[in-house]
Amino acid sequence: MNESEHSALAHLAERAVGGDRQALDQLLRELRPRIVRTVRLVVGAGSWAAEDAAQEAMIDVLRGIRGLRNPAAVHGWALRLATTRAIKVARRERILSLVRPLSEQADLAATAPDGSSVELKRAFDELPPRMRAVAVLRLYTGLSEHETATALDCSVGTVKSQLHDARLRLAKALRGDDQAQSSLPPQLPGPVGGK
Amino acid sequence: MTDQAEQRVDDEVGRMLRAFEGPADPRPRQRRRRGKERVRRALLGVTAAAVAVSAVGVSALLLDGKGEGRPAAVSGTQSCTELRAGGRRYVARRVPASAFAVGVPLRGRAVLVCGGTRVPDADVARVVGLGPALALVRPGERGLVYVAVGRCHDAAAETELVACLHKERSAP
Repeated sequence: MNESEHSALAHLAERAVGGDRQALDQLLRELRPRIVRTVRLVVGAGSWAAEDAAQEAMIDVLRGIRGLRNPAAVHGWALRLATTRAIKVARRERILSLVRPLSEQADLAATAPDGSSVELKRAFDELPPRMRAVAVLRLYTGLSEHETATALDCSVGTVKSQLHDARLRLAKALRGDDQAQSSLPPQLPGPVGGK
Repeated sequence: MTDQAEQRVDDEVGRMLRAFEGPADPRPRQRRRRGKERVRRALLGVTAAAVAVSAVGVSALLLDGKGEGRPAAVSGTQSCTELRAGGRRYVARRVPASAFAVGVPLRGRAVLVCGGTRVPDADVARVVGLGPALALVRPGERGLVYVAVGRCHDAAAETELVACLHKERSAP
């Protein structure tokens, strides 16, 4: 997010805190894609729990907006609420997945349109929720280490170490993918144009 | 892990996350299909035919001028303050348009009260994440929810209302 987008959001937040209904609507519209997708990716794309959590995170933002003390930091504040909600739901889902029948777990088909690595996605979903949140905020949302630490209410050192651990674990899945690719049988020659 | 290897992991993970990011809105839960699909479809067909026949009848009455006094439809500007559905009374309340998403349409009779006029067979839908006993919406009416009387309908401000609905949904 660039500087002008930040200041536009801050301006909207200032008006929304002051009770401007239109500004509140517009602010929620602007924040929604970031909040929904961040929550979805942290909880685990492809589950109804993620969709419910995304909706709940939007409500958290709406409920808290009047109490926002620093409108200039609205983006970080909203992501903080979203990740807090997402981590809470992800932890609950992690526990529930131990007792839930397998048939109920994949209740919403998650598909990667470009055929991305399913193995990598699986490895990502197995990371602890907080580690997932760090990875999503740094590698998807594009927050700095400092912003991520603020959003997750932890130190920059924790962000660095969590991301380092996440990289190590995900690198294993990537190596697995590479090995699987290289162990595939060589492609058969295509059909020869015959007469 | 070298910088180059880290960068590769970051790129691959970033690409994977973008591929799975999904739509910008939370997906509404679909009603799970239960029972015999064929019977359900047949009933749907019969209902659709009945609606079509009655629509033709009402149109004919209106063209004849005998349908005067009966509301034909709700205009976009008419303010509807009340809704009755499933034996419950709902009161229209304003909420920020982005607060709730329109969910699965509800079947069954809903009567809308608009400026003292009763409009039968109004289209209503569930609100994503809220039960129909708590609140309903009308597709196309942004920023308006119909809240069940006795459950949050008297919340003073919009944010209070949203907070109350949120609290009520998780109540047993």
